[in-house]
Amino acid sequence: MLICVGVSSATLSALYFTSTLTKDIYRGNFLRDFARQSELEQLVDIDIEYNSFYIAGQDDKRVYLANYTNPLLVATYTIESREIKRFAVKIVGFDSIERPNICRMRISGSNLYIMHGVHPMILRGKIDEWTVKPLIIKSDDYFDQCVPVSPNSFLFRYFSKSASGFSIGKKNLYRQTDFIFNHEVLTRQGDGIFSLDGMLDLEEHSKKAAYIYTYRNEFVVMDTNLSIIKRGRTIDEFSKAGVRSSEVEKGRTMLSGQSNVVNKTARLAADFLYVESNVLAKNEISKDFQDYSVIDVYSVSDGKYQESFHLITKGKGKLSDFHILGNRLVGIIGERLVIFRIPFEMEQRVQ
Amino acid sequence: MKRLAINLISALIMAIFMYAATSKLLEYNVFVAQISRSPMIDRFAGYVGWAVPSIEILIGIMLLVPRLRLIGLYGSFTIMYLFTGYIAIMLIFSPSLPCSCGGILSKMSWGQHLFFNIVVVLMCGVGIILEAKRRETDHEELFLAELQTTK
Repeated sequence: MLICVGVSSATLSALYFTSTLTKDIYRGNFLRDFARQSELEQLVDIDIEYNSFYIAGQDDKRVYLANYTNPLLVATYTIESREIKRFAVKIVGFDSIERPNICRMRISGSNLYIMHGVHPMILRGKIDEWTVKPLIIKSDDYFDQCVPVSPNSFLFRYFSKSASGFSIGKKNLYRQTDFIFNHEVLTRQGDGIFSLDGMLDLEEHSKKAAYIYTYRNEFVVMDTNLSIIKRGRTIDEFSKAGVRSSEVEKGRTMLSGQSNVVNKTARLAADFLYVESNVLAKNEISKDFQDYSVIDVYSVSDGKYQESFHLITKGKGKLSDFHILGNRLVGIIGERLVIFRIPFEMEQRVQ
Repeated sequence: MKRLAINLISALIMAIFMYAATSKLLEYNVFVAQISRSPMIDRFAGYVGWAVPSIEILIGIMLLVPRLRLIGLYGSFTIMYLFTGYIAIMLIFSPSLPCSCGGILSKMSWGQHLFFNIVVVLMCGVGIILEAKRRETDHEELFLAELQTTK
C-alpha cells in the first residue's frame, strides 16, 4: 500500500508542478494610471452575512441589495442611519416561480423589477411597497440579461435564432409589436454564445447602454434605440477571445479548455464606463494584484482610458459586484458591503 | 465475519466504480469538456476521458473475481488516492473549481466529495488488510490441512 501511496503522490506532484497552478499570472504590456488612488475614501465596510447578495440599485438615500439564492429578498442600506433592513417581496398574481434562481432584480427610480428570462416574465412594483405584479410578456420571448429602460420597455440580451447566437434587443411591453433588435452590436469570434459573452448595463439618466465583453478587450456603447454610439477597447491586449467551447450533444454547447477572463463587472455611470479588469498591468505587482480588484475608467464620449483605482479585497474575498452613483461607489466584497467616495471630478474630467 | 466485511467492501466499491464509469461514458463529451477545464489535467483531457472509465470498469470486474480481488483492491485504493489527492490540491491551490464527476456524485460540493473519497480510500485500505490477512490464514489452513493428510 505504501508503494501505491508513494507512486500516486509522485504522479500528483508532477502534475501539479507542471501545471498552470504554479505559474505566475499573465502580465500585460500596458500601464495603469493610479494617480488619484489616494483620493479614494472608504466610508463604509460592514458585514452583510451572506456572499450571495448583488446590487440591485441605489438612490440618494439608500443602497438596494438583491440575492441570488433568495430572489424575493431585498436588503436596504440607508446611508444616513447606516442601518440595514430586510424585506420580502410579495408577488401578486401567482404563488410560486419555477427555477427561482434565474430571477434577477433591478431597482430604477421608484420601481422594482424582478426579471426571469426563462419563464419568461417581468414583475414590476414600487419600492417601499415591496409587492410586484407580472407584466404581460409573450411566452416565447426568452431573454438572458435584461435592463429596464422605462417602466414598460426593456433592453435585453437574448439568443437569436437568425443570428444563431446572442444578440441585443429591445421591447416595449405596452406595445407588444414594438420589438427591435440589432445583430451588429455583438460580434462573434467563434461560437455565438461564449466568444461574445459579456455584461449589459444601462445608465439611468442618459439612458445609454453598454455591453462589455468578458473574454476580449472591447466594449460597445449604444443608445436606447440600439444605435451604436461608440466601440471602444479596454487597455489590455486581448483582442481575440481566449475561450473555447465544444458542442457536447445536439443543441448543448459547453465551455471547454482554459478560459481567459479579461473583463469582469462593468458599470456605466454619467459619462464614464467603469470596468473591473482581470489583467495585470506592467506597472503592478502580481502578488498585490491578488489582494485587490482594479477598476479601469473609460470616457464614453471618446472611448479613451482615463485612469484606474483599486479596492483592497485582502482577507474579505472577491469583489463580486459594484455600482456607482455620482461620487459613491458601492461594492460587495465577499460577505461585506463597502462604500467609497470616488474623486468627484472623475465625472467631469473630459470637457 | 471478516469474509463478510471483505465481500461487502468489495461489492460497495465495485458498485461505486461501475456507477461512476457508466455515468461518465453515457455523457462522454460532457466529461471530456469538464476535464479540459481543470488546470492540472487539461493537457490529457482526451486520454483521461477514456482511460478513467475503462480502468474503473476493469477494477470493478477484478473485484468480482475472488482470485483477482486483492489486485482489484490495490487498484481501487490507488485510483481513489489519486482522485482524493487531485481534489485536495484543487481545493488548496486552484482559484476556480470545475466540476468533473458523474451522476449523484456531481451533486456533492468539492468539500463533500473530498470527505466521501477519503472514506472510500480508507475502506479500500481496510479491504486490502482484511483480504491479505484472509489469504494468509487460508494458506496456513491449507498448509496445516495438507500436513494432517500426509501424516
